[in-house]
Amino acid sequence: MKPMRYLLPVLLAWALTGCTNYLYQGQLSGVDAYGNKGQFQLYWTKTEKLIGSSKAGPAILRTECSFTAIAFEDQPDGVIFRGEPGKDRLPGKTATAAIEQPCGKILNHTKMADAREGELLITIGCEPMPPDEFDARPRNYPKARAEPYIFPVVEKIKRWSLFGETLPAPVLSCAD
Amino acid sequence: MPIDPKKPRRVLVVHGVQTGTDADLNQDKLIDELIKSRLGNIPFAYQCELFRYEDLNDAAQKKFTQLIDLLVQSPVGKVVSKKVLDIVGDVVISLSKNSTANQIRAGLKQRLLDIYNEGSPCYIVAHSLGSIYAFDVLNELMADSQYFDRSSRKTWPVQGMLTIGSPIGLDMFRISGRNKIRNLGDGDKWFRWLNIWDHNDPVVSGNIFGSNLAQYKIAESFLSADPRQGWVIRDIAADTGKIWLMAHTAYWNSPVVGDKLVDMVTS
Repeated sequence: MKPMRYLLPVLLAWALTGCTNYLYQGQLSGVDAYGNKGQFQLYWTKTEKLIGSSKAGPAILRTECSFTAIAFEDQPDGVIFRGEPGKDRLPGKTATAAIEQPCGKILNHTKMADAREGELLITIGCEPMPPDEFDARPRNYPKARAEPYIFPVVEKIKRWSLFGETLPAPVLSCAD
Repeated sequence: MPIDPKKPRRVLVVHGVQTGTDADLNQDKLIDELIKSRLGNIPFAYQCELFRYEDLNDAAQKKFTQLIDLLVQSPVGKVVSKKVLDIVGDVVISLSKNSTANQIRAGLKQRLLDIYNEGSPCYIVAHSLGSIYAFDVLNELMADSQYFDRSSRKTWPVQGMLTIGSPIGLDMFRISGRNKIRNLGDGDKWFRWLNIWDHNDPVVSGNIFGSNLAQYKIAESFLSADPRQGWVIRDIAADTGKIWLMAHTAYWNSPVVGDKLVDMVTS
């Protein structure tokens, strides 16, 4: 009977701390903010607990040969890339973005925890400000346009563990 | 000496609550590895270093350690209670305006000014309690008219700050005088403070069970409508993949932290 005494606490610990970690990623060719062809890579992670709600994101968008990392985060109006004053602006404008300027959005999900494998539709509505002397490379991301970019997203990793795991994310290599 | 943007970037890491001594700390190595892992094959010159202050904390807690030795008899009890004192003591010191906290702030400020006087662009990465010291020192530097001319980043001893797992949203830190930030004044440059936190990190939320939080305004609650404020502040809720207290120490190898840090130190 002794082993039975330990079964309940073990099951309880397992239920409270066990989780499944996912890594989702997608890659796309397209035109960047400077009109050049390039690769864009998107990734995010999700942690599903046995008991309790899931957590996920942000989705990070990287552009080939650039240091720029755009974050699409859960906001009250959906999953948004918030522009940064001094770094982003609306196309054709000289003034910089306002503090809360939405510069992009994930169209087909309202929360990162709901996003999964399949097509992910992203809009970009801003462009980078001209670089300053502190920019090691110009800020860059997909060119602003009305129609969405469609990322084919795959579930790259799915692993179960006690207490969870920080998953490695992909890195875009630079061909220049 | 004004900052030279062409010089290699310096990343000054400020650790948080710790057990052990200064010699045990290696968070600068962790951040260095994280940056390297996210740069891919793009060359970029930078250097990481750690601002250590655990020995100062330990010295301030010595008399309490001796008291615990007297009170706790069992060997296990001694080890556990010393670790608890080490952690709780670090927090109590940071809350107070005593000589140890002042010494830590003065040491951090001096290190930032040394880097500034070399002309190197410096970026702070501060974890947990370290973010409280970084916040204090940064605002102190902004109050000094020699630095932080909003029209010229070459006068800025700190170019940007990334905080991870920061408890700065908790009341205990707010009521101890940290309820606003210094305005940068007139100009067209922006100081960036990015605060990354995990939804389940109990140190950030103050909830011991690490309940799952969303859209919690921490650093962003310091934003004002005043156009002269000059800060871009962002809270980013990130999934580190870990839960509860493990989430608090998972930032060091989170790709999201790495990518946002690379984005910051290269601009």
